[in-house]
Amino acid sequence: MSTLRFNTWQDTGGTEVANSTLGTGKILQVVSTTKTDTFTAATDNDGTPNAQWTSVTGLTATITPTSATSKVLVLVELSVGYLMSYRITRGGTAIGVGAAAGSRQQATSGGGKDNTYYLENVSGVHLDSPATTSATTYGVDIANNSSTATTITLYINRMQNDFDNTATSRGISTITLVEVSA
Amino acid sequence: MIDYTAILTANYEGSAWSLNGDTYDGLTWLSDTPKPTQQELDDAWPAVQQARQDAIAAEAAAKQSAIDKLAALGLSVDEIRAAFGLGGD
Repeated sequence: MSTLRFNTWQDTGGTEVANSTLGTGKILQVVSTTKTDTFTAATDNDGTPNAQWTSVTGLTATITPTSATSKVLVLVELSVGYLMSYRITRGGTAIGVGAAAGSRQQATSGGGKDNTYYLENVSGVHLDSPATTSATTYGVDIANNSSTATTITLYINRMQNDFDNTATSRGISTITLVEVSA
Repeated sequence: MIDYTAILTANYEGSAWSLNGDTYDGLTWLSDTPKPTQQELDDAWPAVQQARQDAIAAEAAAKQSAIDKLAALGLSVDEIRAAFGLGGD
């Protein structure tokens, strides 16, 4: 796991430049977490909307906005080894998801494939307005796309088949937060 | 390395859990049923591993059988590959 943070800017002479003078649309800070180990989970689609989401351990990033008016651009990249939906969360609450529509799961997006030797990059972007200057944690939840009430195992950063040979791969997943002045 | 995910998927169908990383320490049990011990999972690994290898071997044998039957009908290797995706791996 790695975290990149910076929250001050300097001109070429080494003098700090106040964020308030940067105007809108400027990048104020970037926080990023990369998960390199695996995460798997068995979740049950019991037919209850949004009931079976599981947080991906180790794939969170925390940012402290410098202004309550700032936007936070959330960038998510997942290495997915099976069919799944995912959603971005802020403080444990889903954000950037589709509108409620019956029993359908409200996801940011989804991807993957029912294949034992498969690893796919699934990415998503959401521009958030947290309206706070407090430390705010973003994360990722995943859920299965099965249409039946059975338990499905979901795979992050690994294939379904994970034999120790060159036919399999391990991947990385990343969540990056970009504070943008507004 | 023991694949705990494979064991849990094979032997604990219907249970909800998550596993962060590759070791038993990363296992979070979400079902109301008792969480299996590491010893129980470790003991189950040889059978699960064998079952997975048997399944792969059976799949390969079925694929080869299909190729042989198609070849017996007069299809070339290239035709079988183009039509069914068999024989290319």
